[in-house]
Amino acid sequence: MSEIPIPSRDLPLDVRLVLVLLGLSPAMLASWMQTRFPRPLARLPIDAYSLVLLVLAVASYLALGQPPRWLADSWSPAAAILVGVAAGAVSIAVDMAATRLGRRRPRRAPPRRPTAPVPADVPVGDAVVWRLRDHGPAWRRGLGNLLTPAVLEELLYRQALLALLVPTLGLAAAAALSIAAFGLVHVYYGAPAVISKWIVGTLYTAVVLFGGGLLAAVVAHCLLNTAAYAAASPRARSMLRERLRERQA
Amino acid sequence: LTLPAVPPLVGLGVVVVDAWLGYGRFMILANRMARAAVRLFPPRDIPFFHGLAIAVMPSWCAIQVAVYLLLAWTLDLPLRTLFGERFDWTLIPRGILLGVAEASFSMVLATVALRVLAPLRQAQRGGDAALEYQTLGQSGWMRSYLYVFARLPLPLALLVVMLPLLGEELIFRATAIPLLLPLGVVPAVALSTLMFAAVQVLWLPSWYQAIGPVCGALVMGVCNGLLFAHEGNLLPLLIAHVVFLGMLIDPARFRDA
Repeated sequence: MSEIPIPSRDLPLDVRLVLVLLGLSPAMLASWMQTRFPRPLARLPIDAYSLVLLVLAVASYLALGQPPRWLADSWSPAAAILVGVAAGAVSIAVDMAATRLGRRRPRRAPPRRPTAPVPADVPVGDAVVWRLRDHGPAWRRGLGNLLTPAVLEELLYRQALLALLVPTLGLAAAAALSIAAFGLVHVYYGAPAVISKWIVGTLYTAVVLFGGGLLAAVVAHCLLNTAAYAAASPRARSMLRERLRERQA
Repeated sequence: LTLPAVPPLVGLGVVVVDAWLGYGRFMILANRMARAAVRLFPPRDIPFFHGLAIAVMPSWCAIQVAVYLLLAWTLDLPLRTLFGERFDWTLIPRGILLGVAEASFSMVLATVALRVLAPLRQAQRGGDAALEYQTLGQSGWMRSYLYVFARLPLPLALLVVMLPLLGEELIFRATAIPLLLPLGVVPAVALSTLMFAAVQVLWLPSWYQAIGPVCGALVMGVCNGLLFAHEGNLLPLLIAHVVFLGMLIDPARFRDA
């Protein structure tokens, strides 16, 4: 098993709590920010979710006092990339199967109101719509909305959050919690996506802990996101148009 | 954190009575004090009931501070070190970040709870549970905070909002944690969190509207309780509480208020 970066110094309890709580809910914070501050966020090259992940990942590694550990011991980058490609293929198959299973259920008429209001009245679904927004140049869509979250989610859920939780919970519980949080981040895409991400998260965690390290998981996640975006972009565009029409109305 | 020499069961009784009086008789007393104050000094350009809702906050805080001073004097609770032995400016950004993190995670928890419990509410009452929550989600005691933000300039509103939150921190952290700590950190934090969550249900239209505040109280009760048990400083917890409330109060509802 490869090592995970264990904190080299004792962190104050409040710092640890802040990092863990935000690590468990970055999408909700991004959605809140997007609702309250849409104009300043629209000027940034990355979306609110990626911004939250970026700040959180940087803060976590600064607090841990260690840089990300990209490769496991005695693994070459080529081998890690190969493992990553294989894990990516498996995760694409899992995601496709979960999507098909989700589509088999008879569709009900869409509710007139969001089905899950939250205390701050954050419009559910805004985060995904903004992440998959179809304006702006292609590099911004690809880099900002696909690859940045993939890299940052792996940095956060496969290393930083594990390292923050392991001293308190132990490796198994820490891994389970970080996998659960990784799945729940995708709750905006629906229940099949959450279940799929739990399976994929378990696979990536196993890859990081037993295989090619963080690099392999990043490669796999980038492949999965690219495939998912290629398959889902027409639907996402229609979602965005619908949302914009609602806002204009 | 220095512990008072009080048997744990007596401490538990004191905390329960303190919370029971604080959200019962003392709330009624605070309302009477506020009513008298608003009649004596009628505010200009503010409707009577909005002024009353605003005036209740300092009144209730004054009662809670008086109760805490009495308890601190009789039971040897922390008083001089309540906000730290010396001022540490880093506690301010840390408190703000703690509030953001608590609000963010409690929104996740509340969203999940609302989704899970929506069918139960629909079976109980019929209609659209989501629409009901959107309509009544920030009603009851939460509406008082809306009046404050709607009627007062922001710095003053934050100051006024901070007062009842100070009262809550005094009951559920400064009083409850030291008195319950002889039972152990986990039971102390769990009991104070349970009481903190229970009082959120009061003064709300139904249990379904209480889901959000209860989820928030569970997250805040655990985090703030643990932090007070470890560090014994109320300042970052109070800042976190204000930031938490500021994030969850919806400015779109100011117009309604």
